[in-house]
Amino acid sequence: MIKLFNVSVSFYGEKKALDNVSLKIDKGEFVYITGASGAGKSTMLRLIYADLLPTRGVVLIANKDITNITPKSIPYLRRNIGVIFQDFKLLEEKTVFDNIFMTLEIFYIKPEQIENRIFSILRRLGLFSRRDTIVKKLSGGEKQRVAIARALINEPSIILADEPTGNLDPERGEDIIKLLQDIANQGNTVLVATHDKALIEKMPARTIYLKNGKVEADTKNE
Amino acid sequence: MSKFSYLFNRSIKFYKLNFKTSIVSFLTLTTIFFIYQFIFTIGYSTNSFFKNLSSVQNVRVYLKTDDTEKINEFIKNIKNLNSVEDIIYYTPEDSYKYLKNNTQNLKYLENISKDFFPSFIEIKLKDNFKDLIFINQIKTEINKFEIVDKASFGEQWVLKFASIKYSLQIFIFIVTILLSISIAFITINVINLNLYKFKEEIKIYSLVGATRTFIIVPFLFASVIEFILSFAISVLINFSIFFGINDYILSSLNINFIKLPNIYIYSAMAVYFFLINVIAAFYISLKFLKKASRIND
Repeated sequence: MIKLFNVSVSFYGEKKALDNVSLKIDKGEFVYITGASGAGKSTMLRLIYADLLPTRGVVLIANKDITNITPKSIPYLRRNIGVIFQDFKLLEEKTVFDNIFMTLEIFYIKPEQIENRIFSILRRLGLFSRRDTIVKKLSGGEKQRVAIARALINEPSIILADEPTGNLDPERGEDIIKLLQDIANQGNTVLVATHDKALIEKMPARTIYLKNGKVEADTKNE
Repeated sequence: MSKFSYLFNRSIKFYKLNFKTSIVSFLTLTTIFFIYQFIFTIGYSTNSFFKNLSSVQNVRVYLKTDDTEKINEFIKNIKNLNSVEDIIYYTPEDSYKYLKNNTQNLKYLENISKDFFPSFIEIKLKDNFKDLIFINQIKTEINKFEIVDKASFGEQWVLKFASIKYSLQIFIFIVTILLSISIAFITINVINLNLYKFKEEIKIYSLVGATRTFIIVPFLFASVIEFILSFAISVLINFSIFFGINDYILSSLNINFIKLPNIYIYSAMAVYFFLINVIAAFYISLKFLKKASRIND
C-alpha cells in the first residue's frame, strides 16, 4: 500500500528530516511511527499525503509513484487519504455536521444529498447528538472524534494520524487508538505518529522507531 | 447538479457572507472608476471639440495671376489628384461676395474696391485625405506651381489645436495606465485579505482534496461581482452628473461642449478593466494557494 525507497527529505539543504528511509506498509496494517521530537514522524506522514516532496528516493502510494506529483494531482491523491492532527484542524465556528460535510462538498454535493451518510458516521463515533453543535463547544476527545469522522467520511483506504492523542487525557487517547485499530481491522491502512510509549505498550502493534530521520527499528522485522 | 451551478451558488453564499468586508473595496473601486470616467468624459469632449477645430476642410490657394488660361490649366492638373473632391475658383468679385456673406460689417466692406480682393482657389479634399501630414504634402506640391502665390489651410491654428488634442490623448492614456495599476492593486489586496481571512478553511479544503478551481472560484466570483457593480454604478453616476450639467447649466448658456462616450467606448473600457481585474485576481489566488497549500507549516 505504502512503499518508501531510500527516501530523504531535507529543508533548505539543512539537516535531513528523513535520511535514506525505506519501508513497506501493507493494506489493512495498523502501524505506529514513533521517536523523539524532530525524529521525522510528521515528515513521513507529510510525504504520504504529498504535503512535502522527497529530496531523494521514491514514494509509492497504492503502486502510484508520487515522488514528483504535480500540484494538480495532489487533490486526487488526498481524496484517498484521511488525515487526523493533534490540533484537530477543525473550523471552530462551524457545526460538527458542517466540518464533516467539507470533505464531501468538494464533490459538488448538496448537504441534503449525503445527510444519511454523515449521520451514519456520527452515530458510529457517538457524535450524532452533537451534530448541530459548534465545534468550539466540544471537548478535546469529541473534537478528535469529529476529525476522525471527517477523515473517514470519504472512505479513504489510508488514514494518517499525527499525534492524535497528544491533546487528550490517557483514557480518551486509548479510545481514539482503539477506534483507529477498528478502522484498520476493516481493511484500511492506518499510520499513527506518536511519541507516547506507554500507549504503544498498552495497545501494541507494528512500530517503526525513527531517530534523527533514520529507521532505527521496525518491530515487523524483529 | 452541475459543477458550474454548484460553484455559482457557493460563490453567491460566499459573497453574501463577506459582503460587509467587501463594502470598503466596493466603494473604493466605484470612486476610482467614477473619477476615471469623469476625467475621460471631459477629455473625450475636449478631444471632440478640438477635433472639429483642427479638422481641415479645404486648402486655399492664392494666385499670382488672373490669366484664365493658366488658371484653368492649373485647375485641370489639380483635379487629376486622387485626394481632391472638388475645386472652386473665386474671382476677386466672388471673393468680395464670399466675404460679404460671411461678415456682418457690410458698410465697411462696401467702402473697399473689389479689385483689392484676391482671387483664390478652394480645394476641397476627400475625407480619407484629411490627415495633417498628407495635407502638408499636398500644400508643398501645390506651392511648386508657378502661378501659386501661397497655399494655406489655416495651419497656424490647426496645428495648435491638434497639439492640444494629442496632449489630451496622452494625458488620458497615462491616467488609464495609472488606473489600471490601481485596479490591479486593489483587486490583489482585497482578494489577499479574503484569502488570509479564510486561510484555515482553505487549508482544510486542501487537506480533504479540494481542487484549486473549487477553492478559488468564490474569491474570483466575489471580485468579478464587485467589479461589475462598481463599474455599473460609476457609469450611472457619471451619466447623471453630465446629463445634469448639460441640461441645467450648459444648455441655458447655449454651450454644447459635453459629449458622452458611446456604448462601444464604455464596453471597451469595461472589458479592459475587467481583464485587469480577472488577471490580478487569478495571479494573487494562485500565488496564495502555492503558499497556503502546505497543511502542516
